[in-house]
Amino acid sequence: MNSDAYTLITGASSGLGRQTAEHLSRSRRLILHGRDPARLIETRDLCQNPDRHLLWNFDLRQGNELEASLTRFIDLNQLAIEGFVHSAGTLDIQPLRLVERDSAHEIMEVNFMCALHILRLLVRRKVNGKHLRGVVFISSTASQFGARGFSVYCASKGALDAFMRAAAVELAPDIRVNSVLPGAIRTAMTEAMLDDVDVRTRMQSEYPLGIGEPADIAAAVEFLLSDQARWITGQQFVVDGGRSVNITT
Amino acid sequence: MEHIYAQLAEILELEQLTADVVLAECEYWDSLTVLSIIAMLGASYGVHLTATEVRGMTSAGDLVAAVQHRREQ
Amino acid sequence: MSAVSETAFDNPLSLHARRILVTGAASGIGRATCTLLSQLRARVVAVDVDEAGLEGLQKDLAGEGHARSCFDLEDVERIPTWMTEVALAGGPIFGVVHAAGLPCVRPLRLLTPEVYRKVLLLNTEAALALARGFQKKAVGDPRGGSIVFISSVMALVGAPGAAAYSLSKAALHGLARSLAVELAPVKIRVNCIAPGFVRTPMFERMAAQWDNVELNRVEQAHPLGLGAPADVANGVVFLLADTGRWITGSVLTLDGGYSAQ
Repeated sequence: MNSDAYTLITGASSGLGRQTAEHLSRSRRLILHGRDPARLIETRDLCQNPDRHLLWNFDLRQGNELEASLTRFIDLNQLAIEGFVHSAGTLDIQPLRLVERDSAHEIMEVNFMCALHILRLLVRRKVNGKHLRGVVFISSTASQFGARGFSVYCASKGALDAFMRAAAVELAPDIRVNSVLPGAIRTAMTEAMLDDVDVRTRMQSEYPLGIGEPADIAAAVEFLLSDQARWITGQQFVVDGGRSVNITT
Repeated sequence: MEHIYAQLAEILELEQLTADVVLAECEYWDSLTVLSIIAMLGASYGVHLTATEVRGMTSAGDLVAAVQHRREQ
Repeated sequence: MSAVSETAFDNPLSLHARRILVTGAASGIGRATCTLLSQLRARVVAVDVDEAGLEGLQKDLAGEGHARSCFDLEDVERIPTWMTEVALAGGPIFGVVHAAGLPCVRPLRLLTPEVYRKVLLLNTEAALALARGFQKKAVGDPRGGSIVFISSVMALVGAPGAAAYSLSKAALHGLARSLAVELAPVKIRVNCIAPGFVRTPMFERMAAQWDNVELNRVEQAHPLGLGAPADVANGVVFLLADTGRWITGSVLTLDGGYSAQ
């Protein structure tokens, strides 16, 4: 690990991203990305050595401006980015018949397309030299399994994982690319869903190890970025308390 | 608030919705629809009800009254 | 801060003084796992039929509190009783790693019951017996535990002559899934690691029968090249420690990208 290089975490303002940032801040310099400046500052203050980390404020829904914003940010700060964690994600639970075109586009854009656009920029010599070493996408068990109301979300995570595999094969051996697939964990994004007592009760019985915490996912991200995972690439790393293998209730 | 019955009707896939309709008896009444209603109320009226609160409503009229009440607060 | 906030690697306390039983400890993946665990101050119970190999392992183990057991896992009926003896002698066991296994390259027409049953016995039945022994009150740690079966990418893909081996390893995935659900209430997690081609004595013996072209082809099939036993040991440790506390019923494919293409 290069001590002058940075690891970019998108969606660092909240939930998973924040916990991941806190974990990684113990041993890495970070670029914390988010769209809410106040929450980004909060996240940085929770990290170890807050002064070592940079803030990149950008709304990923503005897809057309991403390339300019990121390349400018890298150039301005003369950055070498060795790690990339795509933790930004949006969830909008809707029955398929109520899905709107704009909403579907936004979910695909934030959850998948932005990961593609950021990665394609980070592997360009003119933008980031040959500094990139490891990439982790926060996907979801939803990339493997369907659920009512999750059609676009599932599609976005499925696209993300398929892209991950192709990128892993193409960018080897210098760059490793993997996905972490969390099950249901307690964050702001899942709050509304878990607030329903029927849903919560059902999920507790479906999850052999109960509902998870962001720290469980952060540990997996950290491992995949580390040298200990130097022979792991193209992998979907399931961290879900056993949910996806359970058919009992 | 004049459109709220029309919006709820669309989510519940009903031709029309009147105040006396019992929500739990609607064909499309389930946890997924409850979430869609919560999202719509938040986006259209700035009112944030929880799933427990929405499920506690008996009729469409009860729900609309609760939304109105919350808006006035 | 919760225990999981430290990685298994920069916080040795995560596995400190925890007893981990490792089969196939005398060589390859099992050996690398024992060495790494000892560096993290776990108490290793090294198991193998190779007594000389176990003896040689001792000098590689850091720390103390280790034990060894020269036991033939093909004696599956005795496994639970033997595990009770191990626990009584040195304390409850927190983790089990089944790294012992038999390779098998045999075309179907020569794959008689005698041949494939031998492979299934060590690779698969022993795994089930180890789990059965582990869940006994006299054996396991009341805080819970973690079982890791070393399967193989051959459980996910096929090749001529690999039927028996693939069968024996794929079975571990199904085994792990149901055991994970069944043992979750008693806090025992069960996972598999499916390694790609790793440079171990087992691999070297197999590769000795290939020509350079074939060896090259196998190496090319791994985007990150062939693996080292330590690479797999790293994954085992991650699953054993609190870093894996919410992971169960999973297959961690540790294969240098082999199955991604």
